[in-house]
Amino acid sequence: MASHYSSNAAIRSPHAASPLKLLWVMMALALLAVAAKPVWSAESAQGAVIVVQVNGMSCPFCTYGLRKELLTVPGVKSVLVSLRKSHATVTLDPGTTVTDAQIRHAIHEAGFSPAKITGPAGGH
Amino acid sequence: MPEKTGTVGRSGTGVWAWTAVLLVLIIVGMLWLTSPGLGHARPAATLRLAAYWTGKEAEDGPLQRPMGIAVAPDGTVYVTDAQARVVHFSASGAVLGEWGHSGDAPGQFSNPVGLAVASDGSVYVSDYDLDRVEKFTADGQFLSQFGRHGHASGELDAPAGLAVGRHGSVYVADFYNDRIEEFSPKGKFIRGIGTPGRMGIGSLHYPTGITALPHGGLLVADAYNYELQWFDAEGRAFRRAGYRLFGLWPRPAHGETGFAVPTDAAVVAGGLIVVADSANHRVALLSPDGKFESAWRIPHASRRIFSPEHIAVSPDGRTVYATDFAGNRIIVLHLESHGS
Repeated sequence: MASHYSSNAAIRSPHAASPLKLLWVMMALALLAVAAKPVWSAESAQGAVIVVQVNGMSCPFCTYGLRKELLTVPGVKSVLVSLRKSHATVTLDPGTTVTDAQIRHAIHEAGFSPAKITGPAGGH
Repeated sequence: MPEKTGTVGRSGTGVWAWTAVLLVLIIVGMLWLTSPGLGHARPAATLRLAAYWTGKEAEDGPLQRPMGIAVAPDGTVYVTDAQARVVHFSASGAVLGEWGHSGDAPGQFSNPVGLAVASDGSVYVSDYDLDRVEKFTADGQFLSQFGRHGHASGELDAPAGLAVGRHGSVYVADFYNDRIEEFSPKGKFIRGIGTPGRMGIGSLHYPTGITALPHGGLLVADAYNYELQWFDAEGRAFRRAGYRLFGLWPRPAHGETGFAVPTDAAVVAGGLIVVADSANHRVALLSPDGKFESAWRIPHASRRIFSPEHIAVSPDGRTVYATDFAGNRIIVLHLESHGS
């Protein structure tokens, strides 16, 4: 067993400087992942519209909570929640940009799990 | 070797089968033992539909997604709806007036949800979006407001149901903070009641409705623990009603077993309790200690939207008013006692 550990240590030692490199790689990957996520931009004067499908919405208190949370996202101008269609229609302020991650985070904060998020045509 | 292996396999299967049967029997037995089994052969009372109110004669149009409801000492009824207003009804359902404008200035509403009326006739309205409670005269003149967004004591995150206690204290169901907060009539924070959680008595999980009990305690609709909880005048929980899996974990239930998202409760004649059991689309009637008596179900209810939401009772305790959010109306029910 002792040799096993020592051999592991031996393997690790050549990579003594690698944690920094690894960190760099991980950060780069994370940035790439974030960059790959959709970003919704409202370039038109009216502002872009995003439709978010949210499963399990039935309770008015929860849907009001969802609307309240989505309205806290910078750039969100208005939110209409349809209980019957289980989706939220999010309108952005003109000239603003909202990321997919921001929308999903707000939905999670309200106690829900987001399903499909549909942006404007060519919006990201 | 193949024979031996086969024998061992059959024997193992038998053991596993018996183990599975035993486990199923244990689980079924536990479920049976831990389900409240609240049914009464002869309910002490039932609820009968008396009317639907739509408020169609209101100046700004009929009710749209009504949420809050409260009865004044004179028997008139106040309702909040999605048009950022309070609509005032007579006891017979005639619209007496309405007030409210969309906005965040004093006296305005963003999303009025909860309602309560004090013994002097003043009306409290909780605003779910603005995290505040506003106080008005009986005819809608703005008086004062209290509350702000936050999670510290005295702060609010999505105030829902309201109640006014015997001594004028205002109780707020603080939805996203999982607690009840008590304020003086002037809006000074007094104390918090309940703690966030799922398990122990007094733990709250997204409470939505609250009513002040005649002896000074509180009855809380703990919506996402799927139960009602009783608190004494000192704020200590002493009883709860609802279904818990193995007597531990709160779960939605139907029939006589429990509730599915009970969003409000109130006390009617004889100390019986009515519950807005929203995901079951019904108003349940319980004995004073929380035993199931009977229920009135919304006919042709929308499966997609939970309703009713809030509930209130006439001063004589014999008429029940419930907001039917999905149906854009008030449900009026009469209590029919069947004697003892």
